[in-house]
Amino acid sequence: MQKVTDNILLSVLFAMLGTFILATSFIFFFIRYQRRISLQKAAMQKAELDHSEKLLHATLLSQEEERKRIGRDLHDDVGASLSNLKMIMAQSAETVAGSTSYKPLIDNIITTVRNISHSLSPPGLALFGLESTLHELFDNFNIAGNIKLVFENELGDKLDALPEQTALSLYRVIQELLTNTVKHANAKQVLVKCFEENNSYIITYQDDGKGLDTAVGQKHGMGMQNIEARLRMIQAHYQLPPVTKGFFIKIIIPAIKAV
Amino acid sequence: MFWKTFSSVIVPLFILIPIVIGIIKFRYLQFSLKIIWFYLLATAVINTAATITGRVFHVNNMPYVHFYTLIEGLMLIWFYEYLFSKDKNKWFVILKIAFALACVINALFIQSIYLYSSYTRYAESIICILFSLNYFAKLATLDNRPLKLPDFYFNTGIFLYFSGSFILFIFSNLILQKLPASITLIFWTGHSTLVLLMYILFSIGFIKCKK
Repeated sequence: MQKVTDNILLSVLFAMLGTFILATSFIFFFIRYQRRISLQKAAMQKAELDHSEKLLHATLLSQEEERKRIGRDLHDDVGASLSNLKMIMAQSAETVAGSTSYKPLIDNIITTVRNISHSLSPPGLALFGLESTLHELFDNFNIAGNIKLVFENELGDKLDALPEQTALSLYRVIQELLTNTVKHANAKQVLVKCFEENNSYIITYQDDGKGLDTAVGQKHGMGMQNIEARLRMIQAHYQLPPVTKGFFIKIIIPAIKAV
Repeated sequence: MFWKTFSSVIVPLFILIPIVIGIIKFRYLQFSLKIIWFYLLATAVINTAATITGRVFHVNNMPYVHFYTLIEGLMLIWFYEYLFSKDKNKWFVILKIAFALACVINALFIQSIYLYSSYTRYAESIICILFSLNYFAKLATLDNRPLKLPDFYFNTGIFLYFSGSFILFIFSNLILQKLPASITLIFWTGHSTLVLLMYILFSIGFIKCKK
């Protein structure tokens, strides 16, 4: 029988080294496995988020389409029918003396229908651009309320050159902000400014009302969520810098996305 | 000479680093990590006492190893008890009693207290390896990045130390008796390297503890 000549020193050292390498490899593969799982989960969450974002965009787009259609129908069909009715009534009024009391009523209905139709889908946006549509919006608010609206456009024609989708989104955002000011802010004045800064188009909106409660844990209302969704849709974002009085929002539209 | 200093001075002193970091972070430590901090403190005290006994008084300090094995084993089982569950678990209580009894019986009747407590050290290693593997199995089911968790570093330190050392523990008496001191130094240097690695991982674990 052969005599065993193994070195006990080497045997034990190799055994120690072997188990240590096994243990280290185990840790290494464990970390790699966990990291891969974690990355996969993050990718899945991102895909889900992207999907819901796309759904939201599709919903907003179809909502706009529907608004446009209803607005057009109201303006073209109901508005035209009312005008015809007014004409017929005017002709028959010539035969029936003193029966003109319906006129203000019909005029009022026609104006209301036109206003509803315009608020559903601003008709001038595609034809005249964002600037004049915003002027029209501000004029309506100026007439309706006690708020003084000031609009300063330093972008000039660039504002009108915005793609229709971007312009419509910005119009809706400003419309939402104005509605919030009228409903909740108790403000006397609103200042809207458009200018260029660091290769981006900036729109600032400021009122001198009660301001937004941005305390920790306070969730923004539906209005702000809508604003956020519409801005995301055109790859724009907003900031709410702290102000001493009222509400201030800065909307940033990267110029490259705006043209 | 360097390796002797490494094993008997540098590595034992290195324990002060996780202890100091543990003091700084003490109020943020979970109870299981406080157990680890007290374990490190007990290790530092027993190690100092054993070194003084051996180096200054030239007396066999192996009884300290028996005592240390008992304290270390109980504290690590206690650590895993709190790591796995906050509630009292009867199996952990049984395990602690059984391990304490095994240490006492081993010291009194099986291995002389003047020899290395290789059997109980080996048993302790197996228990710790099994617990640490169980921890990894539990962690694998959670949606967490392990490198962000303080517990992961403590568990990894324990796992690597005992996985690398348990073979040395089995053969320790044989090595101490059969081989010359110059050769045994190689083993204890390897052991000290694993201890150093464990202390480094413990230090990182304490650093990772936040509010």
